[in-house]
Amino acid sequence: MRSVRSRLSIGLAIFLAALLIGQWLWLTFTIDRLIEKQVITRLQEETQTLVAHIHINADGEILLDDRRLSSSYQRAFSGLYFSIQTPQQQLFSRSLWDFDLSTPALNVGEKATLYLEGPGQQPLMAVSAGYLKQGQQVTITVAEDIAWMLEDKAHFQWTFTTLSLLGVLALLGLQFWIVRRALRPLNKAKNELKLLGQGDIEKIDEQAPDEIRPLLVELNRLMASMVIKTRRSRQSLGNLAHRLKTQLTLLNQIADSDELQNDAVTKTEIYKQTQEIRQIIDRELKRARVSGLTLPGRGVDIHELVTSLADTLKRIYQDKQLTITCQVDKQLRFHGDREDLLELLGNIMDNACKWCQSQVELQIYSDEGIVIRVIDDGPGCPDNDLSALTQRGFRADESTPGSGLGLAIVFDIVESYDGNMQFTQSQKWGGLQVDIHLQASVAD
Amino acid sequence: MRLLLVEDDPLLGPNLQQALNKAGFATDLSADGIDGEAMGEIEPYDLIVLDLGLPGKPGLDVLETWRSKDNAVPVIILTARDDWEDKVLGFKAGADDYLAKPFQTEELIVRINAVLRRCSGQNPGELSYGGLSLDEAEQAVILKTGDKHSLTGTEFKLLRYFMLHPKQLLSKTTLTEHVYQLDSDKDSNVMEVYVNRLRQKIGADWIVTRRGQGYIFGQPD
Repeated sequence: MRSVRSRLSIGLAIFLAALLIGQWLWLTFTIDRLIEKQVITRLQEETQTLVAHIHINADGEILLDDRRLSSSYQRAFSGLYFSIQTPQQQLFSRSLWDFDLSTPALNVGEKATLYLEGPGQQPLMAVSAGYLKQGQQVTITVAEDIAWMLEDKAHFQWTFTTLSLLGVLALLGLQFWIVRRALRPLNKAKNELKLLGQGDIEKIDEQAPDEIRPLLVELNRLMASMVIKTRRSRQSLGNLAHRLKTQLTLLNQIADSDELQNDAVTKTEIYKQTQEIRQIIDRELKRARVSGLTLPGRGVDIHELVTSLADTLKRIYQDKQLTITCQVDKQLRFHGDREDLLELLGNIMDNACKWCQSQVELQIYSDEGIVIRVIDDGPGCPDNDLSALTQRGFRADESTPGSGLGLAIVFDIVESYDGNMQFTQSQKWGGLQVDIHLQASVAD
Repeated sequence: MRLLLVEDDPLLGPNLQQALNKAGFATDLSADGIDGEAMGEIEPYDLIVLDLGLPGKPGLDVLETWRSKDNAVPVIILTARDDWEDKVLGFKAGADDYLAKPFQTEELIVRINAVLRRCSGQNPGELSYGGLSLDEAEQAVILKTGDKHSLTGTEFKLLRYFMLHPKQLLSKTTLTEHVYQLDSDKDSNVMEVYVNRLRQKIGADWIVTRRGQGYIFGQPD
């Protein structure tokens, strides 16, 4: 019962079913009563007619003038019967033949309706009434075969039930259709959210009923403002870095000045300090810049990004005869931030290029997120350093230039994408192999 | 070597210009993107040092404009944002090297020399040609015999230009354009004086005069 549609459908179906079952019960009952009442009224009138036609003589004997009575009383098992009872005598219609239609004696003015089984298992409805005739108490019972009535009733019930069921089905169908139709904008919004998550669209269509349009509009606004805010904060961080670093360069220039030409200690100290400040700035700014966000959009074209990066690296290391092999599926997209991925790949690949003899290999494929593998044919790393590399900021070789900053940034990025990173000895070339798994897959 | 420095910082720009001049590069300074772009198009620079964060027009746009107009002048980018996005964009736009701020002037000069050498098809490292080598730090020339002669600023600039363009006919005008910066007094006749002085230091056969055309630098037969 989690979807609005099933809630609506089930609620409406229960209501509809209750309504129709109630209606069916009421109608069937009412019609039964109506037919029975009609029959009872006729049979009562018949008892009155019989009372009018009997005469009781002085001996208490009942005499019936049957000339004016229905001929059905004469024909055997005709389906219409009577019995006239006084305390002394019982008189049955000829149609009863030898069937005993005795009924309990009734006081004057009393009436009773009975259901009996008549001759030949005829279902009978009998109406008895107590009268006073010539000072004698008489109970007159008229019974009629109601097989026709039962048959009519069954027929009616069958027809009515069938029609009701058809009606219920039709109404349920209609209701299902209406609910579906009414909720179609919700389904559309749901599908669009999925597309948005996959990065196939950049904005949700805001054409929707009044109930959900504000939601969609707000969602679009939030997304837009998120993109703008990320961009703006990156811009201002960039500006800050630019200003600070230009000042640091100036400080270096002061160290280069003629006045300090003979003071090598101060000069070195200034260089050391500017370098340290630079590292602090880089570390903090880059950490702040790592977004880890899956921003809406088409996703990052990994192939294009890797190609540009490989070109850049070949130019940076053009004095080395580098061969960079990239195995990246052209269709592959990264649903995360472009700069994060570039920074990550740039640092890892740069390290590989720095240490390799001539070969660097990059593989990227998707496997619940994306998997990145970088291998080089350099000297690799001793085993105990490999495990230590997994600790942030650790530098395997303190003697070569580099701040260890790149690796720390890589750790930040991997962490922000719920990923993990492993360093091993490459089976292929014996150099360092870096395996990174990033959880940047599309949320359902 | 004529150099253009495009850097907007009012202190860093002039300081760097001075340092580069001292290192033997005739350096012009431009403090904004639009000016810098125009200067890079008009003057025959041997190399341009371009800051990315420029007023007027961003450095990357400037570089792209030059490259779209088939201006192949070597460009070294200076940037404060030391991240890969900038590196990739910079190299994609056509930069030849990349230097992140803050840097030491020495480092910039090493990069400039490396790029110049690479662009003239020579190995990066010490500039040498046919047994003649140039000590850029001391601004001196070392002969095959091992003798070392110190050079004046203009002599140094001139010899470096010759060594980076060996076996090429270089007119007096070309030499003047690549040895002096914009605002200096350019008298191409002075070139003859400097060429002769160079000949005295490295040997007269190294530089051949083509009357009315210019000079050719090359290993003597």
